[in-house]
Amino acid sequence: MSTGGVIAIAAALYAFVGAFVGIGIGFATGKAAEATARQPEAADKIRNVTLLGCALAEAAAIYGFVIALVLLLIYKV
Amino acid sequence: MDLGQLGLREKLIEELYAKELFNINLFGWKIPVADTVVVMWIIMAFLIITAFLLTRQMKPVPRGKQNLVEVIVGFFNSFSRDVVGHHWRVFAPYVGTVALFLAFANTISLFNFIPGGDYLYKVTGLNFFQHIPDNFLKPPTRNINIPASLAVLTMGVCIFEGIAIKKPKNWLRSFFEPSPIVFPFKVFDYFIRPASLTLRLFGNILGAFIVMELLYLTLPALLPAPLSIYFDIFDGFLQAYIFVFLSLFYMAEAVE
Amino acid sequence: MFDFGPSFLWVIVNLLVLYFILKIILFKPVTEFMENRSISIEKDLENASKSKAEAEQLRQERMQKLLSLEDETEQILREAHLKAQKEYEEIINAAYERAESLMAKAEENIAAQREEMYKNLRNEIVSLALSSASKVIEANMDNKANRALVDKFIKEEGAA
Repeated sequence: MSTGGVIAIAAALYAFVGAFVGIGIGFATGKAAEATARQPEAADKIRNVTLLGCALAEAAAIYGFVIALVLLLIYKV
Repeated sequence: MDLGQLGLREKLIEELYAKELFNINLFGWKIPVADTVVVMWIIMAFLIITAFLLTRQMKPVPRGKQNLVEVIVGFFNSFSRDVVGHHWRVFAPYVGTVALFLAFANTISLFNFIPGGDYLYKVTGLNFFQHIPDNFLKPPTRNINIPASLAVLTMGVCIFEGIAIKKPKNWLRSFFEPSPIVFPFKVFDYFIRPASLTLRLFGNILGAFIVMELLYLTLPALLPAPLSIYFDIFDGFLQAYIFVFLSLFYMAEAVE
Repeated sequence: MFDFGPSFLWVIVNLLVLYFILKIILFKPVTEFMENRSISIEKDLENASKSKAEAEQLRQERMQKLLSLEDETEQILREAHLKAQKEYEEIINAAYERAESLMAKAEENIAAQREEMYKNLRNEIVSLALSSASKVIEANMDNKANRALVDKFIKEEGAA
């Protein structure tokens, strides 16, 4: 296997991080929806907490995406 | 399939690096000005002129344009009051500035119908416009310099206001609370947080930008229009909101 | 892509400039304006509720006064009415009494006059009878004994 192929696989694996992050954010948002349904009066606080959590969790996917991009663009594939 | 065959790789690299449009000579130094900085100046000029026009002749009973100003300013005031609490007055203008700038910076690719430099040069005959490439209104946040400097500035505000509000002695002591073990982590925070802020904004905007570029390359008609609503407008505003929300969160932590 | 360069410093300078300009022309004046307005609205509302309460109190006082005045008026009217009734009755009674006394006096007068008249009439009749009798009998009957006789006769006739 050539170096380019290894780098492409590595980039794909890094981009694959997004799948798990998607599952995690889905769980968080689902719980937030449940919480909002149970206590509609706390919707503002729940939204803030959910956004904060999603933003922090999303960072992992973004790191994966950026590293994959760096691998693909900086090293010749 | 080779990315190089499509010319996509070269195109992406060309888009991601800031182009130097011209240099400013200042005291013998040559300071290069990139296209992202020019776009930022355009946004700044637009914001300042709009703010100036909208805040003239305020009346006790808001009508028309005054409603817009009051809604925007009131939103940032209540937003920072909700997150920061007592010291919201210090942060509301900064957060509002960053949020307004980011909201326009992230969605500026919507305004690409404005004619490019060649056309303006033909019409006006000014040499200056020759330097401006066509379709150059692309989100400046796709270049890492801009999110990075925004994040560094935010952390700078956190440190500055933390020292100003807590007094230096208490500020230093806050690194060792609740126990001295956390000191390295608290110091580390000041590097992790701007990095995470930077990469989040940069990655999201760059991702949306690349997806839109791919769409324009492969399916130039019909499909980009509805997807542009998500990638250009919704994602742009959401990322601006998240950036200022996290900034405020860090600031609240710094001054509490 | 990761070319940190002069753009980095440019953005910081730009953003600081934008921050100060927007703070001066947008955030500070609008926030102050909105806060002043909400303060003045609060003050106005407070004043309005205060003056409303004052007006309400004044209205109540006026109402109370009006009610008491009405009561007073009614009482005065009633008293005046009673007084008038009393005076009316007094006047009527006095008038009755006066009328009765006048009546009695008049009756007395009438009786006295009638007595007088009777007396005179009798005298006239006596003298008429005497003169006619003396003419008839041609005798001088004008003495005391005859006169007493005729008087007695007439009295008997009048009594009959």
